[in-house]
Amino acid sequence: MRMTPSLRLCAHSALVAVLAATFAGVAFAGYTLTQTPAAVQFTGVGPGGFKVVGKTAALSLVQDDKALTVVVPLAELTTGIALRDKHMREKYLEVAKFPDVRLAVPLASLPNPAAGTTTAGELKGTLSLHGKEREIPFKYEASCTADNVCTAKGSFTINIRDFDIVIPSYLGITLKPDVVVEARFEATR
Amino acid sequence: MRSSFLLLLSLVAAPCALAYPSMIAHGYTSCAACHVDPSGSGQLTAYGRGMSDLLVRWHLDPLEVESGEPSPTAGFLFGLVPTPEWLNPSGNLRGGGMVVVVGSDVAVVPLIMATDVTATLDLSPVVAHVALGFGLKNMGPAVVISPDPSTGELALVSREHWLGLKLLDDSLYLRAGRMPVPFGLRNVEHTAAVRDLTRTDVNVDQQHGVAVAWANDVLRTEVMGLVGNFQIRPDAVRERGLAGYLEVFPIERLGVGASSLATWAQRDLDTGVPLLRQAHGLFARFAPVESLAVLVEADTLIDTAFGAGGTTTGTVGGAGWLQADWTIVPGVHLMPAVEGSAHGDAKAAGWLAAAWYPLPHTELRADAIYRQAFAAGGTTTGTFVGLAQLHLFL
Repeated sequence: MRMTPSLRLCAHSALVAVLAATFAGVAFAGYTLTQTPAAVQFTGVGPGGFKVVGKTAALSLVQDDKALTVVVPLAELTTGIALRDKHMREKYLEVAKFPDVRLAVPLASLPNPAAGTTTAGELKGTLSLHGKEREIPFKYEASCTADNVCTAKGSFTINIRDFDIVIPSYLGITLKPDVVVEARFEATR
Repeated sequence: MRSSFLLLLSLVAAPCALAYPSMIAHGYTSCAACHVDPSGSGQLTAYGRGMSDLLVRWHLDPLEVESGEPSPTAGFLFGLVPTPEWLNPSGNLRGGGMVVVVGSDVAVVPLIMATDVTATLDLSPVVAHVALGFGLKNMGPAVVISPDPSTGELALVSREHWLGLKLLDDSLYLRAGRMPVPFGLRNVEHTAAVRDLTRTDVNVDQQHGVAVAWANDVLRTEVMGLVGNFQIRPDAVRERGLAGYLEVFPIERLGVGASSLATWAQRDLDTGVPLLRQAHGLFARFAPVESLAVLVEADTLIDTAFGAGGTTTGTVGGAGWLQADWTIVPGVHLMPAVEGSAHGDAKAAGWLAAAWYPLPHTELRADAIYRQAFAAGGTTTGTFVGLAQLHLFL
């Protein structure tokens, strides 16, 4: 069968796309969380040294041919005080409507540390929170062992007003809009 | 013997304020959200009232805490009297009874420890705070007016009165007036050696001065210039100097701090001679789990007395405190503690305290304290104090 020039071009493009996806896959496919619990926390501060720290170990990884996405369900986020958790989930994060937060990082930009090495730097990803999406920079540190167990740590600061989240305020204490988010997880590749 | 026994009575009266450095177990490292005083203790803010109702009060049904807001009764006078946001009135009433056993001497003493009415006017950034009360006895340094200044009995008492200025989103707090001396743990056990010997309790040891406090999410500090307690006379007995602490929070639920104090009095109240008094120490608050907080403080005490002809006599001592605050169930605390001191005589003590917060604004507390004093020559004296008290913080 002879291919027309346009068909040849199309086939060539498809081949390039498959190869690109394959190479990306070589670098990043198959990341599987280990049994080591992940740690995700946010820190918000208020007046006079007031601080709220929310934590969860619930984290999953979702990968497609474009991005690795870190998914954190918000329903399991706790701050140590039940009433505060209730306010956070119902009034501010509206977890029933927006159940998780996602950070999607393009596969092409993901680091791929060699065994026994650590890399660190800054990347960009798309943060989906409270029904809004924004591209944000975040800091990361990643290291892998010889048996391909990798540890990743990342952190970023967001202004929750950018995500249409009401500034938390309760009995005269009002949090500042800037919130620091940190995450750590371990995965095999 | 009788006079020393009475002196002992004056020294063993127990806590008389409201301060919970153990709140670090709930993740609260700074004090200013819950207390009017940026370094903690005493009158609660609106937020503090709410957290007191949720986290300190005993709830018959724990699900109340899971699902509920603070009770309306958490407000001033059990919520019966609405107050505007800029006015924070409250009361601090504490009374009870004490049994003191020294050898064969047994004394049962009724106690009225605090009858303070407190008000804070918050016209942010300007804040004014005053506490006034009636003192039955032993209120010495806090007395404003007394029919018998030598004993300070039946006195009008003002533990605190100050003007403040909150700046930089409340991180910076400037104050002038009479306020607690910033040093060490701000614990309520004012007869603990670390509070008593450093003269930094929140019962009657407040001083007049100016203070600068700073707090953020990783540290808190306050430094105070002491200009003397103007509620005591003559001027020669007033202590002047500096006191301060710095506490950092390297990890969650851990605070580690250092304190320092240096004062000078022309005629020290205790020794009657010119005295340079120094105290330097370390303290820490740690909550390994939410139901347990461990509080520890160790201070060095350095006194330099100036005699006739320019001679000086120096003494070095120390005091230490280790307390666990175990929340058996929310609203019920068991607080064992041990302490030791060497300042003149050496002393050691074991404490066992239990506190129950059955209703809003209400604390029932019982303390059993055994102290052993080791005098020169090897003689020892043991003292047992049993104390039961009702505390209403309105």
